[in-house]
Amino acid sequence: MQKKVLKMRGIYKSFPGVKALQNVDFTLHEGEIHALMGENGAGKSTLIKVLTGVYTKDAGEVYIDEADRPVHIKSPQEAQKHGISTVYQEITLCPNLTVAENLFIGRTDELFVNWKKNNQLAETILKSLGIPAKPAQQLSSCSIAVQQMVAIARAVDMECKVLILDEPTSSLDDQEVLKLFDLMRELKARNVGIIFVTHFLEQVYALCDKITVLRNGELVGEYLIKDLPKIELVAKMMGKELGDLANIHNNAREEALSKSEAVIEATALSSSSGIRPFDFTAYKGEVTGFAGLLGSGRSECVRAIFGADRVTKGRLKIKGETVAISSPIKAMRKGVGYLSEDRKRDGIIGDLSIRDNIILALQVMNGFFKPFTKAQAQAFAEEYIRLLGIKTASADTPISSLSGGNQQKVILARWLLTHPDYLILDEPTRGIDIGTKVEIQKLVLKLASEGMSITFISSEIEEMLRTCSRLIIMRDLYVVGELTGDDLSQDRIMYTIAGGENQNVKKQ
Amino acid sequence: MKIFKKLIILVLAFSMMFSVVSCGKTSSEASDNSTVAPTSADTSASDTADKIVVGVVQTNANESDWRTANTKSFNEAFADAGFELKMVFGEGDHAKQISQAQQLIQEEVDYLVVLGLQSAGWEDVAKAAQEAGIPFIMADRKLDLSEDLYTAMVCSDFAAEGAKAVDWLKAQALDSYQIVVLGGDTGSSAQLGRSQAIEDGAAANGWEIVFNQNMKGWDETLAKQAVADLIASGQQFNVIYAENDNMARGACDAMDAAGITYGKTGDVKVIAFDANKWALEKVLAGEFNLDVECNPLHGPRIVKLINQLEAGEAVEKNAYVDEEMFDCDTITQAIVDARSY
Amino acid sequence: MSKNNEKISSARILQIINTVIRHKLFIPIAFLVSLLLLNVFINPGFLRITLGKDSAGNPVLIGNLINILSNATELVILAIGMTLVTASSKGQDISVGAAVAIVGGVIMRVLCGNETQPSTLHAPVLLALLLGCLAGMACGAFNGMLVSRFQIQPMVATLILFTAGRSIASMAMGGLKPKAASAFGCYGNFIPGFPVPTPILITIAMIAMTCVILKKTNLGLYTKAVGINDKAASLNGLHPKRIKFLTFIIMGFCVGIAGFVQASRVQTVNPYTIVPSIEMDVILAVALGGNSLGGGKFSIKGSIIGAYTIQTLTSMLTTLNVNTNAVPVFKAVIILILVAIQTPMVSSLFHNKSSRVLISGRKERG
Repeated sequence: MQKKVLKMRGIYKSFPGVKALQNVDFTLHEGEIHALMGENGAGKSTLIKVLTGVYTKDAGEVYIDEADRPVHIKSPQEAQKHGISTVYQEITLCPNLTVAENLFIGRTDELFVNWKKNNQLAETILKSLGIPAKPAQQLSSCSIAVQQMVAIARAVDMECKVLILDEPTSSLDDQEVLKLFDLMRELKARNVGIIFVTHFLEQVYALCDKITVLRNGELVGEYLIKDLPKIELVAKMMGKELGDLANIHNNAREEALSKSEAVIEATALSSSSGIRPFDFTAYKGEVTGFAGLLGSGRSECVRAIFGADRVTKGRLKIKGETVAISSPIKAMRKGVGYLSEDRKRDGIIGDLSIRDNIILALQVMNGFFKPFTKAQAQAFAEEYIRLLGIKTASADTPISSLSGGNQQKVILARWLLTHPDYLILDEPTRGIDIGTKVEIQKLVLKLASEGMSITFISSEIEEMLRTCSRLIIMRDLYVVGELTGDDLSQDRIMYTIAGGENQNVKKQ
Repeated sequence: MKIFKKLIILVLAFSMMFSVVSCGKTSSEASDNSTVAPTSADTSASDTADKIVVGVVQTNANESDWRTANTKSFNEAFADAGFELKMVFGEGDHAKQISQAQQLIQEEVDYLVVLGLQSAGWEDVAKAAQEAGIPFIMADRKLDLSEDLYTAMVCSDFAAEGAKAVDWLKAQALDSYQIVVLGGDTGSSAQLGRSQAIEDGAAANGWEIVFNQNMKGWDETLAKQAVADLIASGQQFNVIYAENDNMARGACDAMDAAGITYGKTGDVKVIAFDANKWALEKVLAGEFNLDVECNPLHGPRIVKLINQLEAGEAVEKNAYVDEEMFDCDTITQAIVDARSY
Repeated sequence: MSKNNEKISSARILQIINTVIRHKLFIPIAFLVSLLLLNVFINPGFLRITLGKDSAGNPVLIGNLINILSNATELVILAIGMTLVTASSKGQDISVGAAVAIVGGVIMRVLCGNETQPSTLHAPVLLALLLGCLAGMACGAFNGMLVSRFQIQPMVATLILFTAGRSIASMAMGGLKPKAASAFGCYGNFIPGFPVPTPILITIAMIAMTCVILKKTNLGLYTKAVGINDKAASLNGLHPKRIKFLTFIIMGFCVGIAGFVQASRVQTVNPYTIVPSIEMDVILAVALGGNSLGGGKFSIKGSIIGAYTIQTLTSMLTTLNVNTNAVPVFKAVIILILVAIQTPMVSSLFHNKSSRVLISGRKERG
């Protein structure tokens, strides 16, 4: 039995209105690569931040090195002293310094630094870890992967016992990922305990020894990798037991679809965001969905259709007409609407009034020289405030002062006002209250029955099952399957996410 | 072994530094000789073999008509004398002028002429020129340097210009004096000298200065707007003391717009400085009462000075350019026609 | 019954006062008004406007207010453009002074040719105006390209023209300092026979044009959307780069008009000294109007009020004959007060007080 380097017991942490962690345990042995998994909001990053002293925990204990007394870590520097180092997704080094300088800067109290000695030392460190960089090289001249490795080397060299890697692979290509894995195995051999946070299932199974799954701030369990098939992992992350839930999907809607016309036909479409070429067709009056774990590429697919990312390859037909969508306005003019995933960042225009936010898209389609009169704009705004039940004193209120659910309704109103033939709703129900969620789901079904084609994306599987008649399943930027009719069940979805074959590329 | 290596490097480095220093010494020693006797036969002989190179640090290329005439004067006079002129422009940047002067010293010009934007901060340049054996000549505006640091000076005496105007004003024997002073760029030696003269004059004679502010950039429009504001607020005045021609013209525009008479036959006396050709025409037309010359034609005087230095003659250390004043009662068409700028 | 009515109406008045105080233009307007009142206090003749005659016998209006309105023209026009640039690009154009010099240089060259004292105009004034505006818009296009396409920070991008502009203007004039025929002067002064200064008319025309453009186009909405959240704006079909570029072109047009008026005032242009440091006054006008220099929402009305405030201040310092060395300090202190009043901290204090007044008013009623 190997030595435990880290033991966290009964950790609680809450933020105003949110219980981010509830009674979470976590154990890490030396020489172990331990995956920390969970969907968005599961509490992964909160747990990491508690461990590294960025947040103070509300309750619970942290033990290091099988010590009897718990330690209280109040800052990242203190965590460092206890041998806990973190490497984040974004590089936090100084790109304009050399590799050696980045390795050693801020680590000594000495007034004079012997850079020659440091360079030699750096050389040995880099060599021993197999990092292809020279000590005197400027960091910015290295690839992102090497920069990441240097960050890891720096962390490791500070006598770290626990290394936390927070999504280190998301900006790396396949080759670079392999190199990083080699480095991680090397560290494992040196008895470093590694906590690996990622959303790439393949990578977890390629590398890790154990998995701890969190969901909604609670511990689901700790598993040995060999005991937990992918399908079960997916089920645990989503909080479903296999075969547990009845299929609530309503088949009645499907009958007319086969006859209806295709609104969107994408062939081998791919974009600058990195998604692999995919095919997709959406029919009139149909609700489709893209399902997959976070980061699987479901948003990127719809962004490519809308022209939000630069389309690099493939063909797109809208209502039978081949179109080149180089920017959102072109898609909008063809009758496509897109409610974006990140409401705060990509959706609302914060300081503008509800009225301006509602009319914006239609106004842009209308053209620069044809502004609506104030009365027209007011009429539009009032119509949709009433229609969607947006709770506000007046249409003049800045959108930023509304609650999340009402903000989302305003953005929804913005797109409904353009009367699109094809409407993409990317996580329209994230972070909003349950009542509004149901309203939005009902609205989606109503719009589809009126002939609109809708793509609905959500992290919540039931929601998708309730609303969608066809689901495109994605994993690791590939489309891995398409489910319709009787196949639309949680089991099938999870099975496909976990084990389905790639649509275009055969896995090795 | 390692220590040995380090020692060798150290020794090498020291010896290199030393050699650099000694190089500098020899060159400065050599030039010291030339400053002591800049006129000795051998140096002048070697210099005349090729053209004499004169570096001129000018203020701005085109800040005013006056400056344009000033620059032109250098160009023409130097071309006639067969000197090579290296003229650089500070374009309003004092620090830039300093570095330009240092650069000219590095290029080993034979003479350095400086027309400073600001009067302070030239000690290091003057010392460097002295060490390099380059005579340092101040022109246009006097710089804050002790006598031993420069070779000669050919400047306008702004205080004297102002004093001339004050004397003229006193001779007018007005019943009362309510003076509007339109100053130039704050802190320039021309503004300082001319403003000081009128302030002293007013204090000595009991005149009232009803307005005294400096216009940024000697700007005509600002002067016009200031005078218009004074008129609108009901301020009475009977003398405009504008520290350049343009501001005087701006003041006249403002008075025109309000129907106030000025000039030879009017209620308000207008005094201007610089005496550009167009301004002299205004004096001739009786619009300005007085224009005090600030002679921009430094070129010929500098050429004469350099020739004297080359010939080993003694030069007048602090020379002021001759400056006249033009009264609307005495000016003639011939004077205006003779004006080249 | 009547007593009750009275009470209700007094509460109503308090409520109106409260809305007025909370209006975002309240502080800028209040400050301008108090500055004007201060002027009246110092100089009782401040508000007096008399109909006089100029030396040619034409009727002219004379008065401090007239001067302020007339002299603020360039500031007001430039502030309109600067407001849009600030809103869309989250930065300021510091090259407006240099660009005005270029416009002035072009206009002088067109009107005077190679002569220094031409007695007639060499070209129709309309042509000079047109070419001047084109020159201004070319400056705007240059800045706009650097900011939108190359994504250089506005301050840095416009620093280039700020540094080189006045020399370019001097070159455009061929190194001459011509004075155009006095016929050109009527655009910066008076049209003979009409007593209102022409710059005031030009200001009114520009403000009216701005209002029409804001009403008849989506410039306002687009600029705000791009300035507040350009990611979201682009997902709504806007092209943030094009909008930013457009605002710089508009700024260039404003520079063209301002340069035209400025050149006409004394019919001569000294590229090195024309409108000295006006860029700072323009930026200040935008800030005084309650606009955030960080972009986003804007109020052109506020900027215009800010521009008049600055001109009033300048005029006040002249008529007070403040010691010339103290002028900058004086200005700085007043600006400090103005800016301090508008900080969120002070204004929230202000609002709390006013709502307390309202509450106490309600209590009285109850």
